[in-house]
Amino acid sequence: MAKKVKAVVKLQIPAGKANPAPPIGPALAQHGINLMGFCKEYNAKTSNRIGEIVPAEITIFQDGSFRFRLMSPPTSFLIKREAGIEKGASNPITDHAGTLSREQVRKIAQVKMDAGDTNALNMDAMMKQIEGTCRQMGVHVVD
Amino acid sequence: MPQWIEISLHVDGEAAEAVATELQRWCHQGVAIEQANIESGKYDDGDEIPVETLIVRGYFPNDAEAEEKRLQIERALIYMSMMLPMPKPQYKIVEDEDWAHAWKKHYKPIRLGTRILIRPLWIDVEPKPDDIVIALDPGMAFGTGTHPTTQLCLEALERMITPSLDVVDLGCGSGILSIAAAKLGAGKIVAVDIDQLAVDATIENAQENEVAEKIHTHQGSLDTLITSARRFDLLVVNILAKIIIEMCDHKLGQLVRPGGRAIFSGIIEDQRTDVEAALRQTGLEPVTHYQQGDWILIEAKRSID
Repeated sequence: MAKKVKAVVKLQIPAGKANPAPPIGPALAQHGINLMGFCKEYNAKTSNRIGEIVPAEITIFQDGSFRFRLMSPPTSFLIKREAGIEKGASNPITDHAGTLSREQVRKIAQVKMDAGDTNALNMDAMMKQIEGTCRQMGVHVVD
Repeated sequence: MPQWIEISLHVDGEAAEAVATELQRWCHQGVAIEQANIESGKYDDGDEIPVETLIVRGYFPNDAEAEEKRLQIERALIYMSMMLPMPKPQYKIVEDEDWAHAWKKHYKPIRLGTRILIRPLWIDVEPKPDDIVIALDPGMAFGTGTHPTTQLCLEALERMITPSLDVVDLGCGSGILSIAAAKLGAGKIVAVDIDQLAVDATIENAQENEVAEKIHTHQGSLDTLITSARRFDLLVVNILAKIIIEMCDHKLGQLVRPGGRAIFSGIIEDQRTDVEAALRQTGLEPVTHYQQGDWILIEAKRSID
């Protein structure tokens, strides 16, 4: 019989550094799963990606067991890295935080498409999503 | 007791990414995003679960800077609300202890190997005559006995410990492996961890299990041990492949006396060959390995000369 899903939680945390402090502790302990088990396994599987934000999507079952899969870094993280900026604009309507070329947007889209954890159906749709995130961050996209 | 402030927003999928990015900037070590529409038991494993509402949660310490962080986040949310529908954030005070406690409720006695029985400090058990009972308060340190890497180590200790064997436990965590070694009849045990929290947990757990006089616990690293020039019959390392490989570059093998043995755990299946190569470099010859799920334990030996 298939296991029944109790909750789905995505953690956006730094690779290799999971520990029982927030947000991991409160997010997972309320579902009664083995906190240390998750941290250890997450750190083992992300130890080669230190410096990145590596989201983990955790599916928690009613019997207390869980499973997780690693995902590609958040789009905003990839945009910041590609644009060489520390943060997005506080006011994206008036402030300019950085610039990306269309080619750089394509590169980010490729990372997301390769990871297979996006709902975008094709490259064009993925690039449109990324450009949307750029707008929210005050990052201009130029041809 | 330190406190945390939890900030949470109920948003749709598109806004979740933007909100998470902003919270990530101000909150401690990232954010948690939970699907709000899941009714427990409604979906089976493998079902496609539709994403409707997401709850984005972040936490920051309730200290002198908390108000400033809250204002920064609220300001960013106002700008965001010009592009996306944005609800008001909700705040909640969270005690530092809460989740540690919540986790303990789910921690039950477990039997490992043939004789080892691990019980949480707060639960009584009725052991069989030759059972080796370890009472454990894992606190915030690693090593609760529920993880395959720890289980593989406990089973290995049960096979390998002979009376008066000198053991070193590198990365002792809660102290579970040192205590098991002591109760299985080992001689002297040195337990080391770089984390003071782990050292404290090991000392407390050793006292609780009445084996404190056999276990010498201190905060330190591999280098501290190498400098001490003390060599051991059995080296126990339950950390992670990457750290084991790094330690091999720092003369890890020298901790083992010629003819002595070592066990290494915390290794995922596809990391085994890399770890084995590193062990050979430091003078330890892999003898055999054991597997549980994705996890591997490697047993190695140092040659006599």
